[in-house]
Amino acid sequence: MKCRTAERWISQSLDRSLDRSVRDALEAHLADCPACRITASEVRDLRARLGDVSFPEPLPYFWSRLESRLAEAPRAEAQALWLRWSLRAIPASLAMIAGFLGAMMLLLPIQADTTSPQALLFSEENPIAETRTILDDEKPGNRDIAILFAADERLAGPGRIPRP
Amino acid sequence: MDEKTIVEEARRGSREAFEELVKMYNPKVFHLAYSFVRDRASADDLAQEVFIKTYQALPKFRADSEFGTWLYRIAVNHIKDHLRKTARRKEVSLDELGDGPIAVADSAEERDRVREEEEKRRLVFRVLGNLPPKYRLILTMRDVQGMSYDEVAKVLGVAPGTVDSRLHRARKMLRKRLASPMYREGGRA
Repeated sequence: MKCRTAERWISQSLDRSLDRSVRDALEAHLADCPACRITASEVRDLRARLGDVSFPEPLPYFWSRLESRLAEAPRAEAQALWLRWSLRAIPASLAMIAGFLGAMMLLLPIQADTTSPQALLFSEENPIAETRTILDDEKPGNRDIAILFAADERLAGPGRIPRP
Repeated sequence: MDEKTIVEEARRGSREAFEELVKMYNPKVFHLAYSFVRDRASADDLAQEVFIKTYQALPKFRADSEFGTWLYRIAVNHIKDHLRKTARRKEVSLDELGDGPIAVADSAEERDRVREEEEKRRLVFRVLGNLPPKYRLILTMRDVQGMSYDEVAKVLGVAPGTVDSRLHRARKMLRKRLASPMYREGGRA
């Protein structure tokens, strides 16, 4: 153990009981180190002297002098318990609302303006494949009807082309 | 009546209850102030101001901590403010220090011993008074007034580890400053 560490333990021993291992190490160090023994003695002596410092008595009539001053001292208003809690609840409520709005923004789908090809891609439609199905129809009558339905569907809005 | 009841009554505005609290705590607050200003009248003024602040803030006191700890915190902050305002400290002669009782001695030898002890006591108090405020404060609370380790940490609003190291540095500084006049030249007590 270094003397510097020993000095720290000596000081701490005045305030609380040291661990058994630390106490043993300190005692072993003090047995071997005359300088630290002197330090320990001085630290304890100083502590005793500080505890022995006598102070003068407070001046007389302390309360009567204080009482006249208290009459002019404005007092803080005591807050009711419910008011203290409600004041604390305001920031908590604001934080909860902000959290709820944040969660809503994350969870709701984004309503962005999409172009027609993007809309087709998002809805996993494949217009080429469907067009090929119509054109591959061997009967010209069926083909024409399918083309008419497809045109009608497209004009009416998004949706799948009905298969013949 | 126990202290909690007295505090509750004082909080509700009872002057009698507050007077009880002042009687209980005035010596400690006065001594804390005196250890800094080393003048009875100034320490008395500081103690009065501390109790006025306490009286004003009492309705806001919640029993989260002990009343004594709360009062001490007000006192410590007020004394720190006072020291900041009067940063230029006056030097105090040994004669102004410690008006405590001096033991009556029978023989000449005993008188010499008592006188020597009295001189050492004044010297310790003088050197303590010239330490930096944070060291003076912690030594006064812990070693002079005998406050508990935990109470010191609560009043100062610092961790117990900080109290540990600050106390160690304060004691070391005090011992170093007293080394030549008391322990080396004057002999050890």
